[in-house]
Amino acid sequence: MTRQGFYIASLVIITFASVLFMFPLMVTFTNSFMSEQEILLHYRTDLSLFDIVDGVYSRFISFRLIPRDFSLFQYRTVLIDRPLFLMLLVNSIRITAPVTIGNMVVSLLTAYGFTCWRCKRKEILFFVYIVVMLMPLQAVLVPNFIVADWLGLSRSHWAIIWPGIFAPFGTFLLRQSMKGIPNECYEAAQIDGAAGIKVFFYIVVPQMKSGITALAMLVFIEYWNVVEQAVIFIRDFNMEPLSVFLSRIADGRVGLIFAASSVYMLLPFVWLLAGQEHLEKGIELSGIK
Amino acid sequence: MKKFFVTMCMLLTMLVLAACSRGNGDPINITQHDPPPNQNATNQDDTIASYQQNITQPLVSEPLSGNLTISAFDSALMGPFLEQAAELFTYRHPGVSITVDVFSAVPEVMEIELEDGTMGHVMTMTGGPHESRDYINQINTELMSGRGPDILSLDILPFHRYAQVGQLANLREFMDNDQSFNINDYRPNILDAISTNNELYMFPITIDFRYLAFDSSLLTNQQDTLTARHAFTFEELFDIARPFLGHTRAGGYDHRMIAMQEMQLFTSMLDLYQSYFIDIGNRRANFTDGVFVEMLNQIQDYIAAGYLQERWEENMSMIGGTAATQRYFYRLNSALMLFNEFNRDDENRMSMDFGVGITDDDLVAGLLGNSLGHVPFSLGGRHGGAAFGINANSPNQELAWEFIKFLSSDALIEILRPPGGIPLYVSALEHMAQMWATGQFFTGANERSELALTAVEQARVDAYMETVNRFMDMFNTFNVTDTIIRDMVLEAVRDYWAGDISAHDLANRLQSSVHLVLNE
Amino acid sequence: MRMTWPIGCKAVSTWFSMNSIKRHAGLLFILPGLMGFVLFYLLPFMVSVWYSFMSRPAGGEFVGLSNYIDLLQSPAYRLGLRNTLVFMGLSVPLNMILSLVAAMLIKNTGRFKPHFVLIFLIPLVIPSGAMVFFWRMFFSSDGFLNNILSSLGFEGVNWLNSEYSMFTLLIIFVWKNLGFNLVLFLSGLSNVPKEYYEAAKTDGAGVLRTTISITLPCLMPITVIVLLMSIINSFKVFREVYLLMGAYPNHSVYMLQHFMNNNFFSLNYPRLTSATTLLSAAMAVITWGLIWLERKASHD
Repeated sequence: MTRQGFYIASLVIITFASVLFMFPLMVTFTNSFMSEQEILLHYRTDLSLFDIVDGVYSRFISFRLIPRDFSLFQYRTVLIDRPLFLMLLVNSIRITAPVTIGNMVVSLLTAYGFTCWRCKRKEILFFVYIVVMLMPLQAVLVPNFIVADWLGLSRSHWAIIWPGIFAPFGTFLLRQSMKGIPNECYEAAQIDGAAGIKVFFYIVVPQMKSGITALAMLVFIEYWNVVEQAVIFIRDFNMEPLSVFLSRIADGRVGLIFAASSVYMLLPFVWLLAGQEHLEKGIELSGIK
Repeated sequence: MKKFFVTMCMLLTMLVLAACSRGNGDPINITQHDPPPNQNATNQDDTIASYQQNITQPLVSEPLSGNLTISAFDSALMGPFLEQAAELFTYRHPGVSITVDVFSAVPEVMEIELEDGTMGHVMTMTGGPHESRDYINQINTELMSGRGPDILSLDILPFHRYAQVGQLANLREFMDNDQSFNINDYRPNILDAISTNNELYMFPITIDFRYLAFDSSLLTNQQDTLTARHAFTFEELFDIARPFLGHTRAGGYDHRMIAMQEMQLFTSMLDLYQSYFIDIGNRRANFTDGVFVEMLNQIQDYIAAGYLQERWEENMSMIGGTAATQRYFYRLNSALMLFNEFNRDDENRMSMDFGVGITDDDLVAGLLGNSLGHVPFSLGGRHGGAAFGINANSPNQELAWEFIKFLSSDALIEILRPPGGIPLYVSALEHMAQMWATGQFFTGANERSELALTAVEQARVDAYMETVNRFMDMFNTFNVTDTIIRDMVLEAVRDYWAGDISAHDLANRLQSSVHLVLNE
Repeated sequence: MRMTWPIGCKAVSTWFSMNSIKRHAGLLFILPGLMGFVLFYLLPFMVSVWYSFMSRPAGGEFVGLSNYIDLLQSPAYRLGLRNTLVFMGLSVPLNMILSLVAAMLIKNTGRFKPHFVLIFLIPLVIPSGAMVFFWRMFFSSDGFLNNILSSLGFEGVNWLNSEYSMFTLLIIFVWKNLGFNLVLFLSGLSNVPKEYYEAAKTDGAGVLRTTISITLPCLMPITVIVLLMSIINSFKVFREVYLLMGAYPNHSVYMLQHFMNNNFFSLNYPRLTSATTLLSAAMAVITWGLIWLERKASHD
């Protein structure tokens, strides 16, 4: 197969896969422009009297991609009739922004520390990092609560933010990425007489662009969707993040859920778009040292 | 192009942030919304003023002091009730401060048209399954970390699970050691029914039950049989009524045994046998020993024999028509309606009749029981019921006990909107009956006049109290509300009603699912 | 706290030797992150392990291994364990292979690369609560999937409450987590030095040969991450399952997370912590095995 052939084949396959993947998103987005009546009509399958009369015994749900009447009812209700929604959005940002930035910084420092610290026992420590990272949430929730209480943080956003900043996944990811930096770089720096911090800023950080971007995106997404910790630590509904609110209305107002989800997705989506360039650049610059 | 798009989005975000910054200093205060028109907002000053008039003997003589926290989920009835009770209690005992913690979730905001034609906003708190889960997670985290509120309101909490791990204090110890507590004021048999191994982990303040009423014009001369001191099974009731059954449509009447639809009958029977099928104390499920299947078959027989109220979807002629085409021998009514049976001759009668086909010839029969001799009852109020437990972690258990006693007695008398059900405390129930008799229950709390009953009204109250006391003595089984198991059972049953699975399959399925839950 | 103490001690004692200041500069970088890690992660972890040996969370008494024995005898635990292993055994390889294939395909597409990555990352961004409604409409007995199947002539299946529920979970899991692994694999692929590829091309090696001999070995470090993250993510699928199927789903998909969640709900903390400690021990063993594997591979 020629290179050209490969190119086209890959494109076709991946496009097909993309369409499949996009399907739920497209449905959510287009259905957010439907009026409430249309949604109820569409997503109810209880047989009505008319169905019995017509001899229809089972009905299936089918997704409708183009709304019959384009309507902004959902958005209007979500954004304007319920000012709380925007407040919740801001709460979500208040949690995610410090966590993302803090985690990037802390993980970078710690990962570099692991790379350049020469000590026989450091692998054990790293191993501990990994094992603790794998612990599921329910078990550590109670001790986390105790610690947060002891620090006087409970019932505030900081009880979620501080653990987020020190989450071990970032260290793990960046350290593994750093292993990809060949030793020649360090030796070259040493020949030039650079000390630890200089090496860090001038050699390591530029190489890690793609890793850092990937980490930032993943951390942001994880904390944008935080639910369990938010429920435990935040009691006043004025301080709830949006993720908690959405997790509750899943069963309730069917008519609003599409618009609510679309607005919720908007910010991460934008972030994703913005981070795309760096990701791309990082991937392209791989060969240049 | 992409950069432009991204910049616009960033600007939009900043705009949003800026717009919301004023909202943060001004959190929405839920206690300041206008209450729905049919709920009386007791004015704080009036309550205390009237309390001063009706001051009764203090429960304890020494001055009480300390801090209490009490937590509740239900913000509609229980929350306001607790807040008012806390005010009264702290008024009487100035050294005590009580914090009432009600679960807070983002409320639904709806626009309604007010009386003067303008648009106003009404906020209602939702109490759905997700909020329940979140509340339970919050409380559990606190309890497991050695803290938690001093008093817990039953609401939706799985008290039986808390009791199994020893998280709730044994109230019997307080009851035994408290000189001023007289258990006979509180119906000992009911407290015994709630206890397990003679340990009581929650104290109810209101009770609920269903009682049987029969149409004496149809079941002529059966009054003595039916008002005997007896709890009836469905089979017994139908045996008594069968001779009178006629399905004639002449005159437009179709006699049915009981004003219940299929699912209602099923849930009633399930309630009757619940303690047998789902043995929470011993962690056993008993669905597969034949009793359950026989119960299902019995229900099918009753349906086939036409004893039950028709489902309206099936009978097209009922749409648009009324249920006046059917008359029923028996009715199962809520305890709150019991007083209505005694004031039918009152022309100024105000009542809360919510049943199908209630006639003026109705008389009280008795209670429902099962073939094992169980006569079950449940608690009043929403969700799991109005009962309170003391946190075993709490350092203020004696003070908590004092407040619980207050809640069950004086609070129910002084605060006019108790959290549903009828009071367990005998004097409080009598007081409520007097309010029903004089009609004061419905008119409002703002003018509180002395309860002066006429002789006729007093007679009604006495007749009512006699019947209620008779009923209360009969209760011997308490159905623990485990919402998880209950939801599981109802969902499995739905498949059975739809005809997808047989009775035996249902029994097996329930046996394995419930067994899993009980033994996790 | 106890584990890092000897390390800290040693570091401090050798701190004052002149040469070692430069060597242990690394420690300075680690310290802030380490302190936060210990406070918010290690300490709670050890506290919860401690609780697994007690009879009650607060004010209980030491009971040794009896919690563990009770745990292993519980039918619910055994069911959960079996289902979790089955799910992991199916989902992790599936996700890794699919994402690796996707990464390699995307790498070839040149200027469309970022767009495709974006598309696959979107599922990660959509909140669980929003998608639950979609999945319910898709998978229910009268849902969209059965609609398609019946129009193709097959009979519809109860996707949400039968043995087929596992399949439902796999679809949801792959859909949500493919993007995650994709990003990691792309990042790893981008770190393979171009010279190797050029050398292979001049040697006349075909695409398949290149892949096996160059790409895969260079991806080993990142594969370890991907494997571990896939395992972690296979736990996180719990949130969707819980919202979609409730706390007590069909017996074929009742997993350890359900067990733990329900015990949290029942205030049965000793049970919960013993289950999680066992889980962590198992994870530790797997991780150690993987690291050993990686070290072996990178030495070759």
